[in-house]
Amino acid sequence: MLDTWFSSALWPFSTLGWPQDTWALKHYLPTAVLVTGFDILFFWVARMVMLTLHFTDQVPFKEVYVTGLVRDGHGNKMSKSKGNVLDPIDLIDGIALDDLVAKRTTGLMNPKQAEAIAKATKKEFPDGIASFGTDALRFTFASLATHGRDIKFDLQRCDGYRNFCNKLWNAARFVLMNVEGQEIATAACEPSFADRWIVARQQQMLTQIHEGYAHYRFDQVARAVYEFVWDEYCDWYLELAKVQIAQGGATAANTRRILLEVLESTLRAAHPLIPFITEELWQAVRAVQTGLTDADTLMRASFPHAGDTADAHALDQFKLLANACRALRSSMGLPPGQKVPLVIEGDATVMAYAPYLQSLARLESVVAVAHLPTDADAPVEVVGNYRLMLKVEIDRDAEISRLDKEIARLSGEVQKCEGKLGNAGFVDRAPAAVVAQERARLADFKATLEKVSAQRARL
Amino acid sequence: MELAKSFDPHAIEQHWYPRWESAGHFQMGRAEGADPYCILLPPPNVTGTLHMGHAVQHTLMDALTRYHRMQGDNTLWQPGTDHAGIATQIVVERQLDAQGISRHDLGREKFLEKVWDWKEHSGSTITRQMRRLGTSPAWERERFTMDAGLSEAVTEVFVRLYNEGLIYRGKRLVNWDPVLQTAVSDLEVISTEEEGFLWEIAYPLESGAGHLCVATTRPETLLGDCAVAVQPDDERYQHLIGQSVRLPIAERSIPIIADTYVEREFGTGVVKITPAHDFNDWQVGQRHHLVPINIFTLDAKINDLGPTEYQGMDRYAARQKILDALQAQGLLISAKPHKLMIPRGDRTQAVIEPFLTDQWFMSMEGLAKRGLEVVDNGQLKFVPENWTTTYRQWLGYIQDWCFSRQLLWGLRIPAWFDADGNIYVARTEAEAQKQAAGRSLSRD
Repeated sequence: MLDTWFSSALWPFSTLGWPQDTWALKHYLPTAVLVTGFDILFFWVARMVMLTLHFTDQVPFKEVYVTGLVRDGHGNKMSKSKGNVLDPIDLIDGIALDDLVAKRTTGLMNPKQAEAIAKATKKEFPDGIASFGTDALRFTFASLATHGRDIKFDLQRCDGYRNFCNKLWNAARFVLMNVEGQEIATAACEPSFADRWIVARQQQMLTQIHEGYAHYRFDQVARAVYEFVWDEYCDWYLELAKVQIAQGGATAANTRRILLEVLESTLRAAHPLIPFITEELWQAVRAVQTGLTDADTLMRASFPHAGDTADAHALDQFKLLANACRALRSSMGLPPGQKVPLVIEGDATVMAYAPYLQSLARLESVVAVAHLPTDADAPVEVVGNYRLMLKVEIDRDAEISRLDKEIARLSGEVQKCEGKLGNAGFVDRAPAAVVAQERARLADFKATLEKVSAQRARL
Repeated sequence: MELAKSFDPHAIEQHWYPRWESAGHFQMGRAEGADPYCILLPPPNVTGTLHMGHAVQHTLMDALTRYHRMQGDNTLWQPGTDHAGIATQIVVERQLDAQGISRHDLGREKFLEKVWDWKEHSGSTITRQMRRLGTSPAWERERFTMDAGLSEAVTEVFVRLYNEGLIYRGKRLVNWDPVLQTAVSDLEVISTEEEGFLWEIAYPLESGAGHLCVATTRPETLLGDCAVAVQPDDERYQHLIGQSVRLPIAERSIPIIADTYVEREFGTGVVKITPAHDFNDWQVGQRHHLVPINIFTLDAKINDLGPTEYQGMDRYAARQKILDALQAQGLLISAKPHKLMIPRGDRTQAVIEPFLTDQWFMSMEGLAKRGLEVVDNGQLKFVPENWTTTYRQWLGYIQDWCFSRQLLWGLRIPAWFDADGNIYVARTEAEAQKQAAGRSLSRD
């Protein structure tokens, strides 16, 4: 009999029809890339190269992409005898703990290992394995596919990418709810800074995706999609779009157009990694865009080209301002529902952002002034040439009592720290890191106490 | 179209996959003027199941295929499965074992029927699992390494290489699994360090002037010794080079030779040379034109070239008997505990025996030369790039490929023999018969 590797060494030309002179052989050889593991580079890959060259005068493939070896979350090789094997289908469908234990402990070469394997499995997966679905699993694989020697498979990543799929789903639902039955601009009209930004930022994602595929950096492709969808489209653009839709008229109609267009092309760009969810959402989006319900398939839609990225930073300043407002709210302990006025010191062009800031930072109003009031005791955030302050009318008595309590608490902490650090036994015997930590705590408490005391003094 | 309130992957997957497949969206692209983009699926074992390694690789191949399909390329992701000779045979053997049936009792034809049954039964598991992963290969072109077309290609390649003189038959040491009774590949051999002994045995000098003390970890193969060897520069033994020793038990005279392969520091600095049972000794034997003596049967028992009282004994029983006999003759000098690498078959755990057999070989030197040229001129690239170095090293030191296997499940070698041992390589038995001009033939 022939070694199994004999027939597989001919795989590139035999499957394409050799020894017949077929169209497939002429058209598809040399093939583009072989994706394989390093364990069979010699037994299989090298022999394919040599025999394909000998019989066809062609290389079998132009590139060989060598993938890493999949290991468990602790970095161990997966093997039946270690009892740490994961079945990809179980990750898609989920599996109950009892079934997983049974699967890992049947058919062992050494049945004595069963008990230890069952124990370890129960500890690691007390509730079995949840169902992640195919798309989340594929996204996880892609995100782990660096050029390293190992692929450390971590179930938490899977969980994270299932959340990502949910996020994408909910974003699409939000968009569809906001556009269905509404006026959608058909041609491009004057875009806002937010519109220009999201479109350009998407081109940046597309450039990263094309580069990622060209260099087999699937982790880069996954990251580009993830960051664009989650951090930019969902976290920023959907919020900005709400503001624009609320303005009504042509602005709203154009916003709906951009919401849809960016979503539609993002679905195309993400399809190769997460084919199912993108197809389902794309059908719904196309139905709204075209009014037809029998769109063909996303599989055959064209992959978006990367275009102009000049405006990819058009939102940078706005993001800084919005984040500054959020920081102010948080440092002042404002409840999320409370709307407060914002005062900005600086030139008036900043007012273009006013309606957006008002919505995203829950502001009552935005006023640009030449100089911030000097008598106010509120904190100030600086963004470039702008200085921002929230104007909060406070209940004087309640605030005084709150600050007094805070001062008492902080003084107590300072005393405790000083007591500890004054104790030579502690300072000499405790590890240096612990002593240093205590010193840092003391400094923190003192600084906060100083600020709060100043605030109290002003009242 | 109303979207469900929350994302339910299961329903969507089951809705879309059959639609895509039945609409022909995975099929090979044939558009006029479009660029080709082809990926070959590394064929998984036909009776295997999808593991995490497959799932990662299939996801990446599918992403690439879908990406290029959407770019308007003609795409072909060529799927298929491998008959996986030894792996599949072992699975079926184990199943039969569990039913108390031995493949030897069953006979070749009946056993192969069982393997085909098993292939029919479990052969689509992995392709079904690939569908669950959403992969988009050209299923209509799915192949199997033992289907008619691929078998034809294999025969054609064999016949052409044989006619070009690149395939030959020869005696060679191979890794022999005495339980499977087949040659196995390096891949199927796992060497691990185990506890053993280093024995020192006195080989009396034919001159009568004392003896040479030989260090060995395998005293039983002494029956096949063809020489003892020392380091050419070893002043302890230089004066003995060219003389002979009397091989104990076998009672043969064998020469004392000098070879740089011998390490002065190992044991006594004198080693036995057993070309039929040790890979290094084989090389030494070739250099010194020693005629190898094989002393084992296919299942690692002493054959009829051994002394009568040893014939038919298992190798380890024979070892003990030989040590006892040496002890009795006062020729066993010492036995020291010694750690050594023991090769075992990854499926049977049996200790692998270097074994002299008639095998088929492929001359690799010329083929490898072209294999190196294509990485040198950039026609073939590795990603990550560092694998190029590994590839170069392998092809630079390549040895001829022993590609014959003593298995039942697999593709047969298209060679026939007549009663005189003449070889007829042909595409069909009729063609071989024609070459043999009426002589009666049996297939390899």
